[in-house]
Amino acid sequence: MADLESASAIAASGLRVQAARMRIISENMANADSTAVEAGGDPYRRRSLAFKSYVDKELGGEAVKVFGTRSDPTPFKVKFDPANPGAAPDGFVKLPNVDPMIELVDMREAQRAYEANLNMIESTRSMRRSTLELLRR
Amino acid sequence: MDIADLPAFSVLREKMNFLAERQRVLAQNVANASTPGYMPKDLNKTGFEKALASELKVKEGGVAVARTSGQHIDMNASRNLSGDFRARAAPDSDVTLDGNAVVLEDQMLKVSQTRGEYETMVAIYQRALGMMRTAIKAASR
Repeated sequence: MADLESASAIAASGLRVQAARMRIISENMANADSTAVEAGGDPYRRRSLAFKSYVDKELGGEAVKVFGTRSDPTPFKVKFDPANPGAAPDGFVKLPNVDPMIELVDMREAQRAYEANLNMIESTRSMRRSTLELLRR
Repeated sequence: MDIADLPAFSVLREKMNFLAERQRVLAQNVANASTPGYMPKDLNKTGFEKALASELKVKEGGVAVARTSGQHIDMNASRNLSGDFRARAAPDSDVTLDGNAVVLEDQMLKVSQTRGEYETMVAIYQRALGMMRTAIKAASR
């Protein structure tokens, strides 16, 4: 029984991590067009999460956690748009380095992993329930 | 006599322990499905089955090795099945660029296998209990 409980708890750690990933992805998507406010400034820089597995003594297994976010160092895109308030004196404005395509693919993956963890919890619960059924009857 | 020590029950219980432990290992793999460099694990099934077979042999009146000296290893004492299975690295069919070898489909298959086997064990356990109950019950009329 203790194993089944820690199985659920480990799957829950997976859920938390995937939810955090989803949050970062939506931040990136929301800011896909956020340019700088002051002239010539830097726009929004894409962020990504780093995961790490760690041994949780209490759970007796390897759970997963987020150990920080990282800014994406890829260069910004530039566009000629002198009317934009964030445009440099030469008329070019820097756009965020967010590629909506990459974010969408990442989002699908996070969703799939989330569902897999949920499925894990579901089947662990069913195993636990059938064990408890032994007490009835 | 302890009912839980009867061969039918103790073997079922060990198998259920094994399956619960496996479920925990699989949960670990799924939780780390996007951790870079993570290698999935699985329990060593053959070790478990070997131990189970020897357990069955002794329980069913098979021949066990006699201990003629205190320095001999007591086979019965070391036959703690729950400690016999250990998680080993078991890479799935594909490794991604970041070195993660967890394939969710493979893991889901293992999960449903484990769940099915576990539920079978519970059903058999229930049936064995029912038979025991029938034997205990006073004959009606």
